[in-house]
Amino acid sequence: MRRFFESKPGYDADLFAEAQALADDGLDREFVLGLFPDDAEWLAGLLDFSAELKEAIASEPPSYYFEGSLKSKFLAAGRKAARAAEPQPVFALSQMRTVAASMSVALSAAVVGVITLGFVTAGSAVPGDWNYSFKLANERLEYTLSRGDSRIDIQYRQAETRTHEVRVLSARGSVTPADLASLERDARALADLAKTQNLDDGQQQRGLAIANAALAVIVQSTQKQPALAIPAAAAAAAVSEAATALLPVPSATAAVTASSTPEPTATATVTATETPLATATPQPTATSTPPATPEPTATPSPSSTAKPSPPASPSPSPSPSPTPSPTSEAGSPSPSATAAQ
Amino acid sequence: MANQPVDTVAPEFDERAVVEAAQRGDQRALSELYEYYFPKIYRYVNARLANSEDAEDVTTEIFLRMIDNVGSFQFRGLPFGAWVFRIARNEVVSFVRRQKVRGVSQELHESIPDGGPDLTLAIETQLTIAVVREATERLPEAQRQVITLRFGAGLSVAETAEALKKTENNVKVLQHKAIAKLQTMVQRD
Repeated sequence: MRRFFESKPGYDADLFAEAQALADDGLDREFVLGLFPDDAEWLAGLLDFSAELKEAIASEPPSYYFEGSLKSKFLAAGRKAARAAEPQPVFALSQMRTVAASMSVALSAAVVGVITLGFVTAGSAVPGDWNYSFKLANERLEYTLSRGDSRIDIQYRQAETRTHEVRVLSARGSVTPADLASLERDARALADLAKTQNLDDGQQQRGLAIANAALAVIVQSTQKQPALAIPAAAAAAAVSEAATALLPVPSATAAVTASSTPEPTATATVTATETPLATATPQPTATSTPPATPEPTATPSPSSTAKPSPPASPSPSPSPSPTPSPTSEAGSPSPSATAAQ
Repeated sequence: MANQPVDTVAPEFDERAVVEAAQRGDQRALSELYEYYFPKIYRYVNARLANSEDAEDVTTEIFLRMIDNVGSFQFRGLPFGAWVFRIARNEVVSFVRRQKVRGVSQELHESIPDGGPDLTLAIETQLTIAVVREATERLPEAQRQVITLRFGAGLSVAETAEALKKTENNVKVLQHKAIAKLQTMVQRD
């Protein structure tokens, strides 16, 4: 009764909770009840019942099999969840950017390397080699950047190179019509050069040497590859034309001598003596290209330059006028003709 | 197991470290958590349900739910144990609800446990459990929750309050009323 009036609402609940907590901690029942002497009577009944309750619940343990199998399931599920939670190797934007930059740098380096290698090794390339285009590009650049005599020198050198390439290919037996066409183009360029530029003796001699070498190569290639007869004939014609154009022209001296002395025949004779060099050159074309006779036979025109020599025979005639007429036929001595007129 | 002192104060290990390791999939940490919580959970569930088969099923569900969600658990004021018992309580409640919907009778059966050393003692104990279960079923839900968590799982008042989202005073009052009522019912039966 005293407790009923003294206690606050929830007092019994607090007291029981406190006593129960001490009992849960393993303290002896009598010890716990001794801490609450005024309430020990009713607390004892509740504590005893709660102890029985706990014992009853705990008396039905799980089977070992269930405990073990559930543990296996639990751990397996944990492994699976951990694998699922693992961050997948994804490429972040920055990583992709780095990879792209690296690849572009590597690609650029490879391109630069190939170009450099191509240019470095292009010197000895022949048509059909992987780096031949580098060689042509190099030559084109060299030609474009050159002026005056150096450009002439470069043209000669390139013509020599074409000749050398065809020689190499001919030795392999792999000359193509395109190679001969290339040689033909260079020969025509040399002819134009001879016509448009005032070449000195050295340049003329060098040009003639190139023409001779080119004709020899053309003959060699047609001997090895008879199927190349037609393009070879065209190339030989172009080379012969170039050789004709490159022949040293005595026009200036002829003009001078014609104007000064009434008998310029001597100089004309020199010209005639010089011609054998040119007349010798057409010889291969005549032998090598029998089917193409129409063209090559026309080319030996240089030999027709020897025509001036017959007019030399009328040298007894005092008038120098006959000299200009044959030169006009040949074409090149035209200045002398004008000078004579 | 009956004589095993119930530790309701704190786990014997650094719970936070163990839980964080378990979240990374550490098998040892998961094993520690299992060893610690399995007896408590099982006793709680077994006290709430009519038979051990149901208790095993529900306990399995609880642990699988726990492992599925442990990665998302964060220490934000709620102890891990309270989080675990909220899962347990939800599973038990939903199981009981499903059983009621299906109309399954919750009759208490008197099965003899396997491997008991003294058959007579086992039968007496089983009867006591049956009586306790039957009496517990007659308690209001809130009191039943408190009783099973406090005396089944062995949680402290504070832990029970956390698990049930109630105040400690509320839990103390519910505990006192439930024990007093059960005592009366059992003595009367």
